[in-house]
Amino acid sequence: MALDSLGQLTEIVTISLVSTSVALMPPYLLATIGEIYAEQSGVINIGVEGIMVLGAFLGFFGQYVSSSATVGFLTAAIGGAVLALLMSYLTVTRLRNQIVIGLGIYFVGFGLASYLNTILFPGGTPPRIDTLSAVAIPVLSDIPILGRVLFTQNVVVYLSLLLAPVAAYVLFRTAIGREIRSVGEDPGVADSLGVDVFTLRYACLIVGGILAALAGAYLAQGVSGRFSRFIVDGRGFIVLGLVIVSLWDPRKAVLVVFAISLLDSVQIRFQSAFPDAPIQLLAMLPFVATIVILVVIRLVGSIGQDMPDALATNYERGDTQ
Amino acid sequence: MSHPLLEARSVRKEFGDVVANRDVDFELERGEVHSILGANGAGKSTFMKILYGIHRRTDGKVFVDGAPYNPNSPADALNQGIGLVFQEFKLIEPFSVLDNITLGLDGATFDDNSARHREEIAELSETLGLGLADRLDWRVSELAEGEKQRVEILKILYRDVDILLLDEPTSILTPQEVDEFFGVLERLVEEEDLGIVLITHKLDEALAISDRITVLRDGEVVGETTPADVDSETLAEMMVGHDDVASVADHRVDHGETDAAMRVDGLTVRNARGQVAVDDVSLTVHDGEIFGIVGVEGNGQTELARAVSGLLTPDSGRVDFHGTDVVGASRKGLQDEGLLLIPDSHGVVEEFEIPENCILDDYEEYHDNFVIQGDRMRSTAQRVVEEYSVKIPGLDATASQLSGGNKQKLTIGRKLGDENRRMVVAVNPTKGIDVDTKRFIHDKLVQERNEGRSVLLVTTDLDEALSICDRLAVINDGRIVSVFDDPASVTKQEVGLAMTESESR
Amino acid sequence: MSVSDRVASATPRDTAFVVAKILVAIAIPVVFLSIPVVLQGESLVAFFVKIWQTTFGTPGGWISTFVKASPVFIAGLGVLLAFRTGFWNIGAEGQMAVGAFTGYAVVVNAPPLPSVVQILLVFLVGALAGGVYALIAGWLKVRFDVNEILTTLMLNFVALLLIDYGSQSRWSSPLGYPFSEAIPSSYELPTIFSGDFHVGILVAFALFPLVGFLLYRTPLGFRFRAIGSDPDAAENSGIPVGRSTLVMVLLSGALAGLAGAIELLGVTGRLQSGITGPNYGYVAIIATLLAGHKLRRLPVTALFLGGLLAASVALQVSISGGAELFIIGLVLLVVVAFYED
Repeated sequence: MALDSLGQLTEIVTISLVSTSVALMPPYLLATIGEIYAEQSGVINIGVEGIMVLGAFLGFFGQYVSSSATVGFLTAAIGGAVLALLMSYLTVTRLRNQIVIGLGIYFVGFGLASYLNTILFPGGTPPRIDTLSAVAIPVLSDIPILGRVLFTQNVVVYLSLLLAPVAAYVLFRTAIGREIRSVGEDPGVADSLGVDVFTLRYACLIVGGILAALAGAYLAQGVSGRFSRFIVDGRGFIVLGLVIVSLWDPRKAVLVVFAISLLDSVQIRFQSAFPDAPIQLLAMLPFVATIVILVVIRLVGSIGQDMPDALATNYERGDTQ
Repeated sequence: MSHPLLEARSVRKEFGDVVANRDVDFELERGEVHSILGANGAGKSTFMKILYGIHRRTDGKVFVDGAPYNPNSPADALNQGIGLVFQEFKLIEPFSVLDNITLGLDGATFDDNSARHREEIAELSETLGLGLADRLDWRVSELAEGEKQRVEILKILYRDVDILLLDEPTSILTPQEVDEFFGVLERLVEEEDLGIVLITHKLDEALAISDRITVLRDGEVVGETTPADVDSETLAEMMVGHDDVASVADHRVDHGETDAAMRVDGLTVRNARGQVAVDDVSLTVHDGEIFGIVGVEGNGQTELARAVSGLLTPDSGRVDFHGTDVVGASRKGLQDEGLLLIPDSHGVVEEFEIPENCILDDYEEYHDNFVIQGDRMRSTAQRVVEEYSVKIPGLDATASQLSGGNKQKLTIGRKLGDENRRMVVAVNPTKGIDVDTKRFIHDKLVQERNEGRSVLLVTTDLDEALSICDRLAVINDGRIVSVFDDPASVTKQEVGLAMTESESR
Repeated sequence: MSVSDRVASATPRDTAFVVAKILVAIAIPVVFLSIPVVLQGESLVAFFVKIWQTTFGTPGGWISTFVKASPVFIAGLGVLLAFRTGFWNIGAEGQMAVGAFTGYAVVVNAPPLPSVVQILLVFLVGALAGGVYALIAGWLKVRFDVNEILTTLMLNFVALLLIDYGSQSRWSSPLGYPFSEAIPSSYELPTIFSGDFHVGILVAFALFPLVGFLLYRTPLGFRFRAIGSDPDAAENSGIPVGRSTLVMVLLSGALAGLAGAIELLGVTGRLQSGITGPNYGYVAIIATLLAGHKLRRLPVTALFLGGLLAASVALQVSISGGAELFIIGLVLLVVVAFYED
């Protein structure tokens, strides 16, 4: 009996675990990078979860209807952009409270996905689509261990891993990246130097929306092949915490996201290995971990410098009176 | 005839009923430092904001190089060659010096523009002697205040300005940094042939660096002169006005020797930004006296008042109130001991109705069995309103419906209704208040004094301080620089001088 | 200004504005609920009739509206208290779940007692548990300045998982369904009028004046309102801001917890994954936001949302679950977008 459990344990802690973790990174990574951009420009979008769910449905639906994964992702991206546009209008232009609007976006996104799901797939067996298949990179995928883990993944995994350093470069080393960050630190100063605060905030929110939608679409098109309104399961809210933990830096986000994906895949393995165990308690871990990390960060006191000073503050140009 | 670099004629600015600038003329030539000198509220800040496109003038004309000048925003002004270094720097603290300077410059979007401009900026820094060439990658937050100011200057100069406006530039500098700063100004004028407008209340600095000085008082130009033609005393008189016979409240009662109500010993307090605001202050307030602390706004008096009333924890020092240690006590605890506070602002809750505002400090006295007694609350409110002649639309009106003066009367009325009171700390109690109400409040404060209680009056209003205080201390840069035991015998100029003289002398 | 003064001084434009807002708020749900109907080719007239009947047109409709509005209102009271003191309590959902969870634990573990005592015990424990649960986030904020929006959100998910654990694992029904065994009848809330109108709804009625009383007539409420309106003025007057915030957070969570306990005993009768119904906790937040944080408007918005929920159940739109959230979310955005605060 003990030997059996040991065998099962080894099964869990196997290379395939790490490989699965990497495959699970895109939803967190894409959404986190997107939210980093939004927050660096000073807007916090707590409705990311809603955009992800909507993206999941649109991605699923798009692929279902056209049999093309690309169409699915495109549909999702459009949906994400539209929701983000709505949020931008309400917060940046109409200056409504970002938290309140974010909540509304969550409800609208989550609800719309459920609503459309009911209308378009009424009753019966839920439909399935094919998930993305892994594409082995020639030569690199033959490297022992690393080859399987890192270079035998699907396209979206590669793209999202590549996105991180690119996103970081744009944000920290280019003129527009500096302008974005200046808007998030002190929009008044930025404005006085001729930086277009409003357009930049719109742009960053929309980028965030597109990435969040793609993240959600990946869950349906890349992981499960199905859609249910529980598919995102709180990941969008965890992303809010991940953004803080990665100190608003896309490169650091990769590490943080890997850690949480690892947690995710351990959960899955555990569940299939011990089907009778109360997995709900294990499922609480990511959420509890996020809280703990937030407290630890406060205690260490280090986020002050990295957090955009004007986060969650709307900017209204003081009129020339 | 060539035009002056900058010319303002009969500039007028009204904010509703208040006239902040009245018929202001001003001229600036290339290669000149022209200071605008004035006390708090004289209108110099307003004028400067008009020049920088933050306010739109109500009347008058402004010309730059002979052409009409009407900026719509600071970015506008900058584009037309006028730069302003604010008192509170417009820098992004977490960014590097270089990034702050290159922010917003035209160029390709995905360019690393900081790298592109690096050499030129370093060169400019060298030319102007700003000493930033080797600090370009430092975070602004790591710099000293004086260095930050130089980053501001470099940032603006890199954008090709002809006119530089400087708002109270030496207020946060150490004496040594001030000297360095003057050196920079001289080089700016020599190397770049700029016209510089220096806005300040420090007359000795104006004398040291200016080619011309224009004095503003109450929104008007009192005179324009040069350092050669004038001395400190004359300037001080121009700034604060003639010494009217100070209307000392004559119904004073003589107490002779009295006990100390509050002793402050070696108090040092930091402000919200971590800078030392109150620097090793010691003083004693006696029973039956009004002790005044007067100074230009921003010299630590607010922090001092909050520290001695229990709202701010000092870095070091002792404060003793009738035997109780203030440091570590709560506002409520001290209030119960009889130490009242009339705050500078937020004395009433705007949304609350009048009766509720009247019990803000002692609402717990008004409840029986968990319920606040409405009628007791209202009768207190009635009493306060009558005694203090507070003009109200009705007892159910909210505080937001009252005028500033009446709000203040309400606050003071409710505070002075506390029967256990022994001392009142009043911070700018008559700021922005009409003359009649001012007199009323002064009478009440004198009455406190006559009845043996003590008042610590912290104010920026020199007339007020001279008219009702028994003793007067001047605070400058966080330190008590003078104490006048007999304000009746002191001239306004003397006190004004102490208030505005810079610390380095 | 008294109410009559305010009414007298309202301009025709103000009134038109308010009316427009209300009309839009009603129009949106009606439009979106009708879409599936149209798609299925059924009669729109019958649809409108059905909406009317299931919400405010018939006694049956009223009852189902009240049943849905009651948890929204009770939890909404808690959310309102929190928001008014500047504490963004997004965790009403989790606090409600914790209330139900601990309530059920009482049901399973308590000794036999008279029915009334049993019920009150569950209410008490549920409220207390909700309050303590909220206090986690509250304490983290006051002590460590950790943003309460994130913590309460995270705690929501933890609590919902707790419910899953309770209903599918620990106390799961032996038949293998994903819910627990039913509570004994002695714990069930008695009903009046018809089968659905449980006594818990009366608690909602009672709480309204109680909370109003607390807020407007007690020293504690005085403190809350002062802090919520002007924290600086409150501080200047010696009011202990940190401590008062904690008390208020406790109360806020307790109300949500109570709502959860009531749902357990009055509606579901067992622990199940949907115990917070159509996300009552979040709907309560929307009710508060729509009410502009004003206590006297909360019953109206709670009733409105309750009616919406009742209608969507009757129209079977909610089979998808979450569809109502879309409509409610849209109403929120539209109202807030044009809401001149």
